Parts: sequence; structure tokens; C-alpha cells
Amino acid sequence: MRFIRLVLLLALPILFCVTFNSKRGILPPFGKLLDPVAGFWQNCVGENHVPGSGGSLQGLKSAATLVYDERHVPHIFAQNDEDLYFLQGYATARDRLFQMDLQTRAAAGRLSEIIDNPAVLRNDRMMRRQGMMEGAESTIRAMRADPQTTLAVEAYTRGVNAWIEELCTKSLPFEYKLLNFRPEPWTELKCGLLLKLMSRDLTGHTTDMERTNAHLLLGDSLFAQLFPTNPLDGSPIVPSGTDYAFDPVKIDTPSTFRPLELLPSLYYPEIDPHNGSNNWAVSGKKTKSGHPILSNDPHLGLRMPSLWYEIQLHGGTHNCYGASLPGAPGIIIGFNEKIAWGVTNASRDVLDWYHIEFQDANRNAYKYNGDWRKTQKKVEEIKLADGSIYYDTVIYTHHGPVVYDRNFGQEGWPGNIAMRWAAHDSSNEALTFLLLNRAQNYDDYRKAISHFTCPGQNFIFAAQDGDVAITQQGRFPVKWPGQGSYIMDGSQPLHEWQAYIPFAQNPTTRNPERGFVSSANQYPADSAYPYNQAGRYEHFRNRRINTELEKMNGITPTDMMTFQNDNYNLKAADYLPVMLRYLDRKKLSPAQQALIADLEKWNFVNDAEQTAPAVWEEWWDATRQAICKDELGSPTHPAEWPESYVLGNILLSQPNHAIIDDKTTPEVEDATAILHRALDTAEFYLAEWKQENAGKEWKWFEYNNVTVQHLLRLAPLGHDHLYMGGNASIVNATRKNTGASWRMVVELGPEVKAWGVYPGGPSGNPGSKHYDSYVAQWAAGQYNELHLYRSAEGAKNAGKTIHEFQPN
Amino acid sequence: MKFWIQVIWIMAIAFLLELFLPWWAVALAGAMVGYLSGLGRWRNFKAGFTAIFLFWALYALAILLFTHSPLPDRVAAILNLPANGFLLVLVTGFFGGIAGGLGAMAGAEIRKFSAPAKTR
Repeated sequence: MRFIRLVLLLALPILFCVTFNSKRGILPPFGKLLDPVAGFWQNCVGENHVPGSGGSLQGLKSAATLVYDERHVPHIFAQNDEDLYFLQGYATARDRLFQMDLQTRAAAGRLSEIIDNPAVLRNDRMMRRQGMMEGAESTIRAMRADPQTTLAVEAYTRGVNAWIEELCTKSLPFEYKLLNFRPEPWTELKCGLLLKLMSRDLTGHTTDMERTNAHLLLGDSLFAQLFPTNPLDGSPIVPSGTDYAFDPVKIDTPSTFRPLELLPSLYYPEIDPHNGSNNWAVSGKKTKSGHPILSNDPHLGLRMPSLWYEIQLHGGTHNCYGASLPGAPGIIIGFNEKIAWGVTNASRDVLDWYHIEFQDANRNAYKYNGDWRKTQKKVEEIKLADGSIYYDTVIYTHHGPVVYDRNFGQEGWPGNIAMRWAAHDSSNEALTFLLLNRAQNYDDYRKAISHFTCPGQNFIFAAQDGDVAITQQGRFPVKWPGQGSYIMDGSQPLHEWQAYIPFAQNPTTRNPERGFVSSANQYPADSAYPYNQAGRYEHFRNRRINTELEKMNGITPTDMMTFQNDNYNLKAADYLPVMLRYLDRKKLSPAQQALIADLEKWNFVNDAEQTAPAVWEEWWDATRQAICKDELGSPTHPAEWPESYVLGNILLSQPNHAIIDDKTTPEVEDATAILHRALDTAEFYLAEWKQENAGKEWKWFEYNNVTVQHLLRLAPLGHDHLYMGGNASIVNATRKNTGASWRMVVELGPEVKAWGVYPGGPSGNPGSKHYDSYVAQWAAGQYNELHLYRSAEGAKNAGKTIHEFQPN
Repeated sequence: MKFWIQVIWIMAIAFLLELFLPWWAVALAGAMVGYLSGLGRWRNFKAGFTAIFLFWALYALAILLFTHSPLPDRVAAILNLPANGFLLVLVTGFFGGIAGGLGAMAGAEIRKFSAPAKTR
């Protein structure tokens, strides 16, 4: 009896400690987490705290200085490039290690190691099946072939690891304590994985399956009207009328081509189609100071910690400032003492899919050009959180990996589809940024971007000497009309990418007559450009930007900041007046009359306080549904829907168009009938919204609910219902979880002046005041002044915390 | 041994052990003093609980007051509690207290088992 009691009383504390020392399902390891000596309490830091300290640092070649300014932005002053990138890696890891670790684990398909969840496993399999690791490996091979990128990526990696080695249980970032795992050493491959993750965000959106289905469901004629190959209106990046006086590369075109078969719903992780960006540069003749001004705001997922990390890099021979990507050396969007540069996504289609016919169930060979070609097999080992291993065999063809087959995509579907993706090709994008960081003039800029192949970007440029320029840069395949817009036949050589557009033939313009250059993810050139420009293009922001810039003169940096926050809804201005005219007022219920009255007095500005934008959104969305759902709403064969501007133009000019009629009803509907039906739907959803939101009015900021979410999707670590305007298709393209992830304005006078802000903060530690210090400011459209100090002394005089490092 | 002296001993040993051992050292500290005290189980639980509650809660409170960090509020919300750092100070103390109390109880029982005649 006494013995049993002893065992019981001994077991109690042991059981308690063992239970709460590890993670149980989604529950954190409570003991470890709550322990004030080493748990999360140690991540609580005061306002003036910066992680780590100065002193002797193993791996440094010469003395160097790291100054944190009053906003906690690091300014690094090193005597050589090696120390510079070493300290960039070191400083970035101090603030953002968990983010770097999580993002690269995600890209490698390794999240299942730390998170036990079937959706996470499916996503891991997708990352592996789409060859993210192969892409990263080929990127590293290309980096290794160049001495400058080799040096940068090696030094950066050593810097990250120097910080990881300084960590102990107590100083681990908060999220490691919550999820109960530890950081692993950083590798060069992780730098490659991070760049591939960006490629995936920017070129991974694909509609080829859905477009195949749309074509087959609509038939040739209706499809051609609803999916025009050339945009109907708009304002290309390179101004219309540019002469393309070169011999275009010719390719062979098959005599006939039609999409082959209807496809089932195949799993593909959503990549936000609203990822996009604005950039523009106005020349001195349009500015008040007479100096060029460059502006850029990339619209990407809004996350905490932010995708971007602001930093100054002074390397002895060069000096630059801007937004860097945690995990990659150099600065991606920024400026130096002579020039400024920025990017928007080219949105060209460089991701295609091919039907694969295997010889037999062994899948050792596939049909190609009338013969059988050997496949290669790769067995992916995915370690799971419980210690077991999930095996997945991926088959590789010369096109790329067979993403969809009997093991993945759709249960019971007999097809096989391989992926051809530019991000798999060997390329050295990092070199472009290292060269841009050092560029002094237009020629340097052109040389720097020539190394850039994927994801295709619109590189904008402005220089102190007065130049402004923009180039759509990337390695784009030459395609015949329709090629790669559907699932192609993998056995036909003519369906492949046969050649690439030479760099010199990519659309570009320097100091155009109109006095500015700009891009907003629209199509790059007018129909005089002798290549197929297939891609996914935006149709409203570019027109708004170009119209307004055309009108502006005597521009100041403040004007540019105000314009980056412009909330004018051109889409509504284009279509709403005609939609209102179609309505039969006698048919409106009193509630609908109130909605319409709100729309009629609206100035088309999506400001935070307005209620009309929510009514417009609901009505427009219901109209799209009412027009398209009968033809393209198949649940078994998901189909692409026409772009808003195509539907809008049909509504405007052809109210009796065949697509408008609802085929599920016996009568024939015209625009008026459809718009009334859509208004009923909008009224219903608005009433529902009001009910779900405690009877609140659908003010735009409440309805849009701009949310900056923590990477682990923990609401208490993020911010929601930010008080601001904007929407997709608006210059201030802030919509729910997507928006201006970094806003920058640079004036290139004798002394370069710059302003910037991003929704987040420099620190990745949710226990620091610097974790979210810019969120409110960003929402309000305010900016920080960015200081490019000429010397360490200048930074030290203004800085808040100074870390001096000596080699060990 | 007086109750408060026992509490102070547990706190001191727990503090020293946590310099180089993980959080469960607080249970070990409770067990050590529990063994040495020669007192009963329930009294030991109370001493162990009080000691580690005070140790952890006061430590956490000091961090909260000195840093003004927003993290305690956020962690409380992550754990589905009201977003209040002071509440989390109490939860932290309570959690550590249980570990310390159970440890102290076990320590007393070991003493009782190995030398039953000497108790009381």
C-alpha cells in the first residue's frame, strides 16, 4: 500500500513535467512556454532593447559598425563586401530568424516536420511535386558560377549562422518556444529556396486548366469574344507608337490546335491573383525641384513579420538603402547615392502544363515525338511531426515534374500532367540586385538587369543625372497564339517552348516624350510588338496612373506619396453609371432604393468611411455571378471566368449578348433583368453582413477588413480592420490580406532624399514595440524619412544603439 | 521547519537550479526541500506551490512592469484567455506552483517511505 502510494506520488510530478514539456496537438509546451526564466517572458523586451551586442565576432575580416536608428533600422558600415553581407545576414537573423526559417521550410516542403496537419502535408507534397528544391538547386549552381554572388551568399550564410550559434533556449525567438522546435543551420540552398518562393508568388498563379475548361464549355466563338488575346483598351507599359524595328525570332506553329479534354478539379494552392505592384518615375521636367522622382509599391501578401526588411548597406566601395528580403543578400527595391530602382511583376505566363502519356503502369517511359522517352523518378521523404516518414514518388519528364498523376491531384482521375516552369531553369537573379545596388547610371542599370530571368519584372529606374527608364525584363518563351494558355500535348515538340525572346527585344523605354515611365502589371506593349504577350494583366490601375501623371506638373515627393494612397475606383467609374441607367426604378424595393441612392451620390472614391464601395462590390460580384455562373459555374470542371473589364465592356455595349442570358431559365434575360437579379443578391448579402457584424454599417474599412496576419495565422499577433481605403484595381491596392507591402518614394537631387513605410515593423519579435511600429502609420498613408548616411560617423551621431564589431 | 522558511528554501534552490536546468527544475527543488523537511504531504504541497507560485509570478510581474512589452497580452489571447498580461502572470504562477507543489509532495513521500519511523 505504501509502495503504491509512493509510486503514485512520484508519478504525478513526473507526468506533469513530461506532459507540459512538449507540444500536444495544437497545444504549446505550457511548462517551457510559461517559465519566466527561459520561456516566452524572456521575449518581452523594452523599447530601447536590440538583440545581441557588439564586440568581437568570429568570421569578420575587419572592424565594422552596425547602427540602429531611432526606428530600429540597421545601418551597416563594413570595409569590404564579405563583411557587409556577413553582417547583413547576422543583423537580419537577429530580427527575423523564425520568418526566414519558416518560409524556407515551407518552400522545401518541410512544414510537416513541425506542424501536424493534413492540409500542411498536402501543401508540402505540392511544393516537392512542383520541384521547388530543384529550382533552388539550379539557382545556387548559377550563383556559384559567379564570384560576386558566391561571395555574397557565402558571407550572408555565415552571418546568419553566427547569430544562430549565439542563441540559447532563453533567447530563442518566441515562435520556436510556441511550436517547440529549434532553428537549424542556415545554408546557401535556403537563400535559393527563398528566391524560388518569390518566383512562385509572382509567376505561380495559373489558369491553364480553368481556361481549357472555359474554352470547351463555351465553344470557339463565345470563348474568343470573352477571352480576347489582345487587351481591348488600356495603356501599355511602353507607350503606344513605339517602333519595334528588329527581326523577331520565328517559331514553328502547329497547323491545328484545340484544347484536348475537360479537366477535373485539381488541387493547386491558391496564389493570390491580386499580387501585383505599381511603379512610376517622373522626369525632372515634371517635378518642382527639377530632379527625377521614383515611386514603387509592390502589392503582396500582408504578413507579420513583413516580407521586407529595411536596411542600409555601406560596403566601403558602395552605399545603398532599401527593402531587402530576409534570406537573400543585397537590397531588392531601393536607392544609392546616384540612382533608384524598383520592380513590379511582369505577369507574363511562364508556367505551362503538359498532358503526359506513360507507356505502361510502371511509368518508366512517356510518349514524345512518336517515340518513348525514359522518365526519372525521385522519391520524396517527408518527415512528419510524429517522427514517421511519408514517401511520395515524383516522376520527372524533360518538360519538368509530373505534378498530377494517380497519386496526387484528384482521386480516381486517370490523367497525368507535367509542369514546365521558368523558375526551374538555372539563373542568377541575385546578381541583378547586387549590381543594381552598385549601379551609377543607365548603362549600369541595363547591364544589371540583363542577368534577370524569372520572375519577369518591370524594372524601373531613375538617376541623379536625369534619366528615367523602364524595362520588362525576364526570359520569356516565344509562343504561338494560344500556346501555353491551355493544357498542352506533351508528346508534341511544337507544343514546347522552342525559343526565347532575346533580352534586347524585351519592351523598354528611356526618357519618353511624356516625361514619365510607369507600370502596374498591365500588358507590356501595344499590338505593334511582334510577340505573343500572353499573361494575366490588370486593366484599371495603369490607366488611372497614366492619366493622372499625364496631368500632373510641378510634382513634389509629397504629391507622389499622396498618389500612392489614391483611392479612386476607376472600375466603378467605368461601369456603374451605365449599370444604374439600365435599372427600372419602378421595380426597386424601398431597401434597394436606399442602396441605389447611396451609389448615385458616390464620388467613386473607396475611402474608409464610405458605404457605397461595399454596395458596389456586392452588386458587381453578384452581376458577374449572374452572367457567368450558368455557363462557367460547373463544380466538377472548374472554369476560368472572363476578366472584369471584358464583362464590363459587354454590359456597356451589348446588353443582349448571349453570355448575359441565364441559360437555366426559360426566358431570355438582358442586362436589365440580370442587374435586377444581381441587386436582389447584393441586398441579401449586405443584410447578412450587417447581421454578422452586430448591425454595423458596411463602412468600407469594416467591409474590406484589411488584415496583416502573422505567418502562423494567430490573430492576436496580427492586426485587422485597419482604418484605410483602397481595393484591388485601385492605385492604393489594399484588399483584405493583400496590399502595398512596401511604399517608397525617392527624389534624386544632389542629395538623394527618400521616404518609405511598410505594414509591420523591423523586429520579428512580437514582444518588441518594433514588431508592429509602422502598421497604423502605413494605414494612414504616412511615411518615414529614410536616411542613407554617407559614413559611419554620420549614422552614429543620429543613431540610437551602436554596435562596434572586431574580428575575433 | 517553519512554513515560510521552507518556502524560501524552495524558492532559492529553484532559482539556482533554473540557472542550468529547464523549467522542471522547480519540481526538483520542491522534492529536495520536501525530502529534507520531514513534514507531511499536504503541508509540503502548500509550501512547494506557494514558493514556485511566488517565484514565477513575481519574476513574470517584474518583466511585465519593466518592459511594458505587449507580448503577455498577446500570449494570453493566443491561449484563449482575456488579453491581459496580469492574468497571465497569475496563470504562470499557478502553473509553476503546481509543478513545485507536486514535486514537494513527492519528496516528502520518499522521505516517509525510506524512513517511516522518523516522521512526525
